[in-house]
Amino acid sequence: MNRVEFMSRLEELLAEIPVSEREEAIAYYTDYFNDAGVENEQEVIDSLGTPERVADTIKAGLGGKVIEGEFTETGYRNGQEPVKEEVTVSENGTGNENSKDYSKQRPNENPILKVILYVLIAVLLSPIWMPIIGTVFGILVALIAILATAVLCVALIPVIAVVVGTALVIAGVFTFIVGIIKLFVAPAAAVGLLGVGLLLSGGGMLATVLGLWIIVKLIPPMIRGFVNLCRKPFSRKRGK
Amino acid sequence: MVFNTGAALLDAIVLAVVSKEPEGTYGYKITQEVRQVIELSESTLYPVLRRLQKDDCLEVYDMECAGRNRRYYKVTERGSVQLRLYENEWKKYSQKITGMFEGGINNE
Repeated sequence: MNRVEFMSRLEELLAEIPVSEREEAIAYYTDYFNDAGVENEQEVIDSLGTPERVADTIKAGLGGKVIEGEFTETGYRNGQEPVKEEVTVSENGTGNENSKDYSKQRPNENPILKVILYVLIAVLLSPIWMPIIGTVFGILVALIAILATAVLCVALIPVIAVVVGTALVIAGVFTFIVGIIKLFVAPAAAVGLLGVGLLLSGGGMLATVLGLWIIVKLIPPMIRGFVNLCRKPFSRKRGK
Repeated sequence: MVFNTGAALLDAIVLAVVSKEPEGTYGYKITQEVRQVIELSESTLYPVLRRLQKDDCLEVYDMECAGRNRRYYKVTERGSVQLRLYENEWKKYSQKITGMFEGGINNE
């Protein structure tokens, strides 16, 4: 086995550990081979043993387990044994307390368990959040209804103005005509009628023109604005 | 060596080796120096270095050397405190053992 084979096998064996840890370990051993030099390559590989053993050492270290190996005249004596589950607490608590904290709990925190936990919490808390969501939804619908009504009312005002204005113009013209006829019978009253007729048709024209202007200029942008307002929540969800 | 080197003593040796280099030193060199004192496989030190790094006793940095990046290890403030603690403990421990061996000479 040469260096390249050794390293690729090691990388394979470390597939299950977190990416950052794997990269760190691979970088370390790449460095190690580089620093040992090509001439010592075989010696390093012999001393490291198998990639399996190196991988076990790395994984054991990750679990926060204190490696209870022995360094005797024959060298380190724990590598061949399978990694044991239990942590043997040694008398030297001082420096190693922290590292034990990473052990065991970590692997259990898998994402599926987390999702199940969240769903369970959501179900349990449904009596609280369901009415809240219902209320919020209800208020939203009511607000939209009020807004729609307001827009409709505003839109109706100019229409009414146009209708009333037109009616006023017609009434004014009639009054004016009646005034002209009456001019010969009762001049004083007729002049009054003429004035009223002119006033009515003038006011009516004004109202009609104003109403038409509002309909043409103001209503389309208002409708557009309202439609946009309604569309907003959905378009945001689509992520723009 | 007939005596075993426990994890704490290995930590202490590694910290001592690294602290000798104020500018930091690298994995291969650390391994070679530790091997001068105790026999160990070349694969033993990586987890130890990694753990000391996670415990904030060692810090790492990359420095370019001969056209490639090499990872250097340096003892942190916390690491030196830990090392002093180990040294004191070792002194007490070894004195007691020595005292025991030599028949209470050091016992007051």
